[in-house]
Amino acid sequence: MSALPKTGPIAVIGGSHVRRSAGQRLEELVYETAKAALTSAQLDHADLDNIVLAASDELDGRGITSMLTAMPAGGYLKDVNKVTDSGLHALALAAMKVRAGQSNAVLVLSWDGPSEAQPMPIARTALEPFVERPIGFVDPMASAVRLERYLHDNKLDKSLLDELAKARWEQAGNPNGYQETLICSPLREGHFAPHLDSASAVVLSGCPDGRPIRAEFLASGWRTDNYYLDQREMPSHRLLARAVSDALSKAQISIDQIDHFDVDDSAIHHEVWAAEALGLADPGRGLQELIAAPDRFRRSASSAYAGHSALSAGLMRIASSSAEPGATALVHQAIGRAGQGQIAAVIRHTRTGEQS
Amino acid sequence: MSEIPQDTIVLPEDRHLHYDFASGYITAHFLRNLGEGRILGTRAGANGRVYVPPRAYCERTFEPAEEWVEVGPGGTVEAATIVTAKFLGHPDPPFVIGMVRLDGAGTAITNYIELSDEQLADLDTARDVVAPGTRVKVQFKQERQGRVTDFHYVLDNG
Amino acid sequence: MSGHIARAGIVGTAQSRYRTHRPDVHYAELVQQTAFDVLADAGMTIDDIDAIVFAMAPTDFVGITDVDKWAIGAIGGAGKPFMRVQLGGATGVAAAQAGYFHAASGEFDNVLVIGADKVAETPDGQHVLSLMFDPFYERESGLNTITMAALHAEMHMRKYGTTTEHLDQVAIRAWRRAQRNPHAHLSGILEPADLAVSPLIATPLRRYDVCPRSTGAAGVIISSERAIARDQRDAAWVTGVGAIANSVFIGDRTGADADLNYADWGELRLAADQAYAQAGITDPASQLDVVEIYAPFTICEVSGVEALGLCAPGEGGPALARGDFDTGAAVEVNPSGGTLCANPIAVTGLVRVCDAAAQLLNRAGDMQKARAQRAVATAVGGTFQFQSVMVMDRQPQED
Repeated sequence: MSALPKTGPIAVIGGSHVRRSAGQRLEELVYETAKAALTSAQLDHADLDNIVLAASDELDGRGITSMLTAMPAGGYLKDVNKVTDSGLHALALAAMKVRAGQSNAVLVLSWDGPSEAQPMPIARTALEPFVERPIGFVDPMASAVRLERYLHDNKLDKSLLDELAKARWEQAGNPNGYQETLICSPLREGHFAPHLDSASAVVLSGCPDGRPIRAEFLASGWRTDNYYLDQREMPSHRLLARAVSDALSKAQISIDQIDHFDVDDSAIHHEVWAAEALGLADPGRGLQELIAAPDRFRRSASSAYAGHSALSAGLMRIASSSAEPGATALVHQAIGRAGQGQIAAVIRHTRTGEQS
Repeated sequence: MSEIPQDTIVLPEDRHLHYDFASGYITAHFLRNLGEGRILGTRAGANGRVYVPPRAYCERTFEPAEEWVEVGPGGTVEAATIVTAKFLGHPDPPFVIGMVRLDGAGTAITNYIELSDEQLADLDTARDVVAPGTRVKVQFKQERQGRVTDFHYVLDNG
Repeated sequence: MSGHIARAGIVGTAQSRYRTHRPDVHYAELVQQTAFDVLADAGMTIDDIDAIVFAMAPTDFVGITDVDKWAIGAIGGAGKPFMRVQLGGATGVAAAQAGYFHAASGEFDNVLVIGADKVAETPDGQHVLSLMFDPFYERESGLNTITMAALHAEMHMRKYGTTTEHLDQVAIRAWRRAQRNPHAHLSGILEPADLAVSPLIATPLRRYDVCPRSTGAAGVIISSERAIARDQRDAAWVTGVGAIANSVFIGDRTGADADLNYADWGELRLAADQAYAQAGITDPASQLDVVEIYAPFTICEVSGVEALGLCAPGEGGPALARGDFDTGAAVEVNPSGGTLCANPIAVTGLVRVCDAAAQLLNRAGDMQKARAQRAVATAVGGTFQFQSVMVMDRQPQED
């Protein structure tokens, strides 16, 4: 018989999240994160067969960053691949490898270290060079334009953004972190989560062999829209709804069965639009409704206001989710300029130490 | 640039991006010791491989490599090439690049091998002068900066 | 992971013509034309495509970070599932493998794997490549892609007696075969005398031992078994995939206690062994018809045919120089002329997949090998450290 694709859940047997210590070499952060994930999975390095990385060459300042990070990730004489979109995209590729019968144990690892680089000049180089680069239409300007339109269309006062942001900083235990410096109207510094240099890893297994299963990866869905804001097929909340619908349909569950929504909260507008896309708030009412019920998402992992790593935020939440046994969590991440891409993964938590 | 079709435009841009690379303790210790005229490697476990340049981990066993081992100053050429074309950011040709296993090291570290103009005059002869197995030794610069360019290799004629 | 693998196959391929510059199109337009062409080759429209894998290596050459995010609209990808693979030179085959996983996992039916490179958009290409080395240890050590290949050549020649004459024949024959390849960047008749006076770059490599810098695009469409059956398409079935990574530090690959020695292309052998085991290939020299090796230097074609098991270690130079793998041979190696005749880095591996799959689909034009049944495509990235191998078959594996 030719192998048939494996359907159903894939075991999450390990995970780690490591904050980069001061002066730490990138490769050593990667090693520490990979080692911690393997230890948590009770998996020998020799039993690992695949590694999927997600990283940005430009932020790492390494022309092909996987050249230097593949070995500290544990890739010696193993299958290593790399995507650039996000840690959740790497997880999606890793899951497809397992489903295609090409991996028994795969380490997914993602990081970013903008403190070594200059994120804004790099964002500028991501602009198409003929029309938008001379104007410098980077984020947060691109997001701000969309947000102004959203506020206008829904007759909302921009102070609602401040109100929700202050609540988020407070929830994260850092009320003084809110900075009201205006960046570009209506966005203030305090509308963005603080950056954190960190790395996250998740170990997926097609045959856990009795190892404790932390969670089951059910499915993921991802969509990326047009680069040009005016040519996008759909507003980012509809794109997110499509990505979520893809994930739910692959997982064969409905949105009512999701207990936790670990949505992208790296900026206030991301979570507002996510709330509306997921039906947790009425269209155009996301800001007021999140202010009224700050815990509407029922998060199972920490808020970005405790520290946000852009590329690996979603993977970090899979690695560090602390949902109760049996609970199902949807993890979301927005990528690219003004939410050009959206990805969602669905995991179900298992009882502590549950055996395969 | 080749011929530009009529009605098209070439938009020039010079890019400068600044990075501040964090070394970590292992690399920093290695570079500081280069500044002191010593080359160090790291070993994973009692009988582990000695990595030069040092790493914080053994790539093969995936265990930490934390023991410091001084290597060299003598070494053996594993392979060398004589560069005869000009590359941006490289010295003016001809020059020699070699992978050299320093005495006590499990791996080879790449750096320049200095030959005289006379030795470089005939490339076939020069290739033989730095053939695999050739003994070389580390030569440090007088003024060192704690960078890998603080040293290069010279033939060990003694 | 030996034994039969989940079924999916390549149903369409397309390539642009390769040349140094394409000032007539910008990056997104370049990849767009190939998107049109690959859809036409498969008899599909963009609405048939369920997901896209974008192949793009370092963006430093084109000077646009995450350039794939710009190009997505031009290829009709807006709103679709999309991800970019970046594994240096191995990107093309690694992306094709990712496309295969999309289809073979049962998650998607028709997957477009596409990309492009404009390597000559900057004149500082070799400097760009030097930025891939470790910033503390090797950026100032004189290593670049050519010197690292020169060191491999020095070691192979000294270990096995491979000669400059062997390498010359590799270049001469590649250029000659490329005359039948409408996409080739370089082709023609080279004479040994021309090579003898060609400029030396780093011993033992001279100008014609080194691939060109090319601009161009390539794409394939990979479909699931159910979609191929439903739409009754011709397919080059993917029957084996393999990938292996090694250390960036080539100095680790020397000496008595190294697992693999830099004189040989051992990583490629390991990756090929994985793919062969899945595809049921036990005697590559008799079971394969076409092999497209990503050999950016003449020496890599030599060590490549050895690593792929087409001849014994050390026999590659003499065998290639005799024409043992040339047009009309039992196994044809790089009938396209290979990477020595076009190297659009981000998609060079995908070009190998295109050229190999087109042979099995009987769409290889003047390059067609009669009754080609089984083909292999490879790619290599970094310091010869990332290997990616794909085996394809005219027939799906039998149950």
